[in-house]
Amino acid sequence: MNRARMRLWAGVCLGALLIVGAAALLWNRPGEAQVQLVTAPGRDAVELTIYESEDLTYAKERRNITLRKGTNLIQFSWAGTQIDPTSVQLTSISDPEKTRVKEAIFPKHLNNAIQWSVESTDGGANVVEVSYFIRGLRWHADYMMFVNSEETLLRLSGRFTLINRSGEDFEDVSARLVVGDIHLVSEKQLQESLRHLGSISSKSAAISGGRVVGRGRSSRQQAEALSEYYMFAVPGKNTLEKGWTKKIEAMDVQDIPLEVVYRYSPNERLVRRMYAFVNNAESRLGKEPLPAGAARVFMVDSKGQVEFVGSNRLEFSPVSKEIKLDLGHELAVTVERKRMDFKKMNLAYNDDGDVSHFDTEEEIRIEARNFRPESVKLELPERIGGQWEMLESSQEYEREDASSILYTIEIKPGETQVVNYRFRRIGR
Amino acid sequence: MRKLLVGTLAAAFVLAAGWAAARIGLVTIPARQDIRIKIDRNNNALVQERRGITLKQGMNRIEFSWPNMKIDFNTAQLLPLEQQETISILSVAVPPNASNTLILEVESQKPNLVPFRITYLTSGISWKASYISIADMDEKTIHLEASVAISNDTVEDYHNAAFALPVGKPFRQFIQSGETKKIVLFTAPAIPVTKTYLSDPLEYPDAAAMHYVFKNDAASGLKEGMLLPGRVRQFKKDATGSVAFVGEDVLRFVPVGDEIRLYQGPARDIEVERRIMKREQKAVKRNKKGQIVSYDTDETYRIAIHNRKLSDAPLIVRAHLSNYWEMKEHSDPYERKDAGTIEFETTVPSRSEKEISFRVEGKNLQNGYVLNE
Repeated sequence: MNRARMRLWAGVCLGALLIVGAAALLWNRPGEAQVQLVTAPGRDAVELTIYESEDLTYAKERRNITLRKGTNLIQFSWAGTQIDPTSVQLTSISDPEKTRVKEAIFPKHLNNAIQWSVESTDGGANVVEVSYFIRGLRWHADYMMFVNSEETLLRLSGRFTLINRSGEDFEDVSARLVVGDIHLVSEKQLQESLRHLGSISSKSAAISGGRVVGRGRSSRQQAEALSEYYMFAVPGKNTLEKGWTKKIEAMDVQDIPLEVVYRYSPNERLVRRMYAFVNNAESRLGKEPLPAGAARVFMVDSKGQVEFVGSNRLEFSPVSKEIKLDLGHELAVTVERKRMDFKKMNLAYNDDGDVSHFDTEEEIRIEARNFRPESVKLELPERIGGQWEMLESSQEYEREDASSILYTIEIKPGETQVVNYRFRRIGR
Repeated sequence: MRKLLVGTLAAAFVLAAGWAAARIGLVTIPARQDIRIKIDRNNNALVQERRGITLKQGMNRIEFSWPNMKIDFNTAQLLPLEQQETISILSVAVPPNASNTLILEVESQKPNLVPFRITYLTSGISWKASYISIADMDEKTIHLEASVAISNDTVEDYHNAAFALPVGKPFRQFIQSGETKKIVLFTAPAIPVTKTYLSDPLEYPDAAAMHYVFKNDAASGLKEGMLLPGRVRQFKKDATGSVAFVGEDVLRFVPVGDEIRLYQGPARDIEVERRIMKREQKAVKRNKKGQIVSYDTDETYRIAIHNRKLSDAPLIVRAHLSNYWEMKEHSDPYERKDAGTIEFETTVPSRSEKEISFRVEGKNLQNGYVLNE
């Protein structure tokens, strides 16, 4: 264990570490009054908030520290870890009114270290919190799904996997996992934000003040972030040693009502099979969104025999959202789609005698067959581009948008269903 | 550590009296005073300091040099602050093979100790502003702390220098060579904010963007005037009493009285789905060759908003239209923001769906459509 890699020292004097227990040593900074140095023991409570979309963890640790009345110099160093130095903060928890961080110094002679100059009105024991961003800790969710042989009920088990490649051991930490994307600012965006400030022209050495130019318009193309975010608290305290991966059970819900949906994929000319369920209370879920993660699906028959059905990625699913997990092609439901009729009509001619306009009429026939032992619900999406009107349709359909319609049909085992429609497309 | 000095034998800043080249009559130079450093956005620092120089009657020769400093020698100036009528700077010269030395010939009518202002432009002193905002649980107020980090990558130490950044009040700081120092500029403990949800297909496709909106004015508790641009790390208090990091945004240059919008990311619980339900051409006019020369369009749009939150969502839904258009039907009232932009203001109740639809006719189009998607 290398617990002491990240230390809160109080008192480094000319590069040498101060002996623990030595409460006061004089530190002489040129040009400044002599200030007191204090030592701090190891960290007490550690809380990690680990983000999903970025390699980013927000760490907070509490330390008990004894401050002298007056100015104290407190040093924190982090050799061998991936801490973002700009993020390191010190806050007094027990006595924020009387404990003030005057400044934070990144000294030249020390790498990966910060020194805080802390003013204490009274001195004495103090609980402080050191917070920082660290890279190298990652998490993801994955799921095991078990369905009954009728495919009507689902058992959903979820796990969190935590990976620690931060270079630091974390013992007895409370971990919180944040779902979804977080918006971070790039160096380029920061530079752009300075554009409207004045600059000193090197030629004249004249000083120009800040000019009011107006606010720049931001571009949000890459901006994907979180705020109405979801945090999952990992139960209990966990030890995350560096280099290790840890799996933690997060959920296990049984008897979720399941529906099997089939959908024709026109590009592939094949039918895809999907499990559909809703993240709501009726489905015994709905307490929180489901984080995205790999889902592995197994079928368990009445004798307890297990069969692998397939796997896919479960997308992030907010509460009340219908989840459709695509399990791949279904060859026992077939679709044959044909154009049965095509007519070109209403031709118009220009003065040169060329065709300047025409309309078309088309008839489409879709024949769907179910070779499975049970009834299936099949979705047939159809695309009709341009300006068109429906002339006849054998079934009702849902108009999804200007160029998309959807037929949903039920087919009994061994049967064939036919969808027939005729439309006119207005030419230009 | 080599320093910018006046009159030491280490030859940094040498004041020599006498017309002859010989460096004779070296005088004791008092400590520099009143250091002012103005740093611009490109991290060019204009350093001004005051030094007393003893001049003898007649011709004086002052040598000013800066080993290891990145000073633009065209900008280095020495000017007397007093007794300008008795002192004349006759020439400023650069010796051969010495790009970091200036030699001034100064004529004084009487022997005197004269304060001089030394000014030069150097690189190596830089600033970076940053902010921390902590929102309350109910997102009605934020606590904003502004800091600036000053880095000194020059070989000089600057004792008790007054730093001036492009905006904001100057502050005094002592910064050693090689050091970076971060100080808090101000804290605004409870800025009232309004949380807004905005769906704009050009800026935030498929999502409703969340912002905290507040004004840079005294009523908000901001008395600092214009704010320095910088990264804002945003936190929010949570139910456990702890704070959670919720993302970053850039605080752009904000004049006093103007609105600050801090982007909070897209609301993951609000889905906005925009569809064109119908698109038809009408009144098609053709030329003699039969080519279409103009037409009108008739288009129906549907914007479906799912609010999956536990609370109601007040939302602005923006649509971008172009060309000459006429609204024919609309499910909800809208406001015309400019010739090509309309906004619907609506509230979607918790865990429900709201549909906004409208039909626009585009008039006399020659090519293209009415609506930019």
